Amino acid sequence: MATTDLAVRAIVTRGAATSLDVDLTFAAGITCVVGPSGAGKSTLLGVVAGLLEPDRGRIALGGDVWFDASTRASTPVHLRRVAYVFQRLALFPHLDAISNVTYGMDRSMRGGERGDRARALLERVGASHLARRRPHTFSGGEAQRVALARALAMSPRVVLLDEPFSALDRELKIQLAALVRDLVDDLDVPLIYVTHSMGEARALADHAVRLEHGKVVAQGEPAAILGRPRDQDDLDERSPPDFDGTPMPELLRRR
Amino acid sequence: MDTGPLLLSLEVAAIATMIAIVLGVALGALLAWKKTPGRDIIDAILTAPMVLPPTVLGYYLLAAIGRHSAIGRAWKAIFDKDIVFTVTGCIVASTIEALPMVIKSSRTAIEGVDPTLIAAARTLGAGPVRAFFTVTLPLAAPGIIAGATLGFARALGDFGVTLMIAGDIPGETQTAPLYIYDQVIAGHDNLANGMALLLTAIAIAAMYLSNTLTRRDRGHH
Repeated sequence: MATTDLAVRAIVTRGAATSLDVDLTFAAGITCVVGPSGAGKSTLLGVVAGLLEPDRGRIALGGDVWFDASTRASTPVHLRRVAYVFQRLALFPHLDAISNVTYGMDRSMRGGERGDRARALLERVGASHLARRRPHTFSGGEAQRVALARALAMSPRVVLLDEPFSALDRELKIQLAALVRDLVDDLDVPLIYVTHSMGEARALADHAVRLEHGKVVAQGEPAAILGRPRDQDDLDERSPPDFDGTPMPELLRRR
Repeated sequence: MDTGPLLLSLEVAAIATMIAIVLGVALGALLAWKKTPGRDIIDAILTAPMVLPPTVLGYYLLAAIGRHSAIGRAWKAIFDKDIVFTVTGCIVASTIEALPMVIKSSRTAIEGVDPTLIAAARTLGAGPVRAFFTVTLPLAAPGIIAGATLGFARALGDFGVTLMIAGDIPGETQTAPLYIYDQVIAGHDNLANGMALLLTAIAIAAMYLSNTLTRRDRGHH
């Protein structure tokens, strides 16, 4: 197992909206987790981030054990360095874009250095014009860009994206999906991408996992799990039809 | 009209409000924390002064910090002064009046902060304390300030508790509400009238400010 592999064995029966019983390994690259509402996708993310403690199981990144029910060891959320882009983004409304992005940076860095790095990241995600503005002035796509920049600024060891582009139109989805692909190739860490949209999953996934009722029903090669375009009606009522089934631009494929 | 009582009232209420903010935010945060055992009963006890008769409060305070109490004697030993029947007593009385307002508003404001924002701060590397001071507190601030403004008005208007533990000593512990009472008893209606109008104006201004802050807070989320 590679040192960056994330191994998650977790049984959650209490304290979560949906129960979970999984044993999964996430390698570097993008793993798309698909499944209907209530399948346990968000519970899985909560467990990896440390926001939710499994009743049983073990979670480790390489040799670093984050949770082990048998020894009752649990690394607190803030020490795991898991970047979590929430579905509602959760940008801090009282801080401008720069301060949102610097929030998670290494605090041993000088303030000026943090600011410079934040500006560079905002530029990379195409949001440098937002630097001194607060989130309530952002459009949906702009907020997404800032949220991505904030997640990456902390030099994460794992990245979690919870339905990140569900509210955006097709053009923006393709742009931002390309950005995610670009960023994750640089970071070389496991990225778990939860989505309802089979189209998004097909466009981005290096690996795929399908959850139902808190259990893994299929995992492996994206083509095998996600099926061919249009073969997705049972799971995917909510995603816009124009995005699904359309051949994705080459830039989204793994380099 | 003697402005001394009004200035004393303003000074006492300002100090009391500052103490109430520090204590009230800490207690409000404790009550907002789901793991605090028995937090609803603690809330009821801490905020009971809002509905207790001032004489009852004053009576308890006399027992707790009076000349013969342990606290009263310790205070005397350290500062060579009493708490009761001094300005310190006025401040204690006003703090007790203001505190429940700040506790209630702090708890509500802190509980109103979107938990996802706190979760986001935690995943970004903030420990519980940093998340509280950089995310929870700034977002709860308008609600806390609105409560503190009401607390200030309440402290400024206290009559009963102040009378019980600080007395009504002209030039020493006579606050504006006590001054009004004295002037009415003495038949100086015009003096009572002037002070009453001043206190009314301050109360209306405080309510207005508090409402404005509360509304802005709601618009924010």
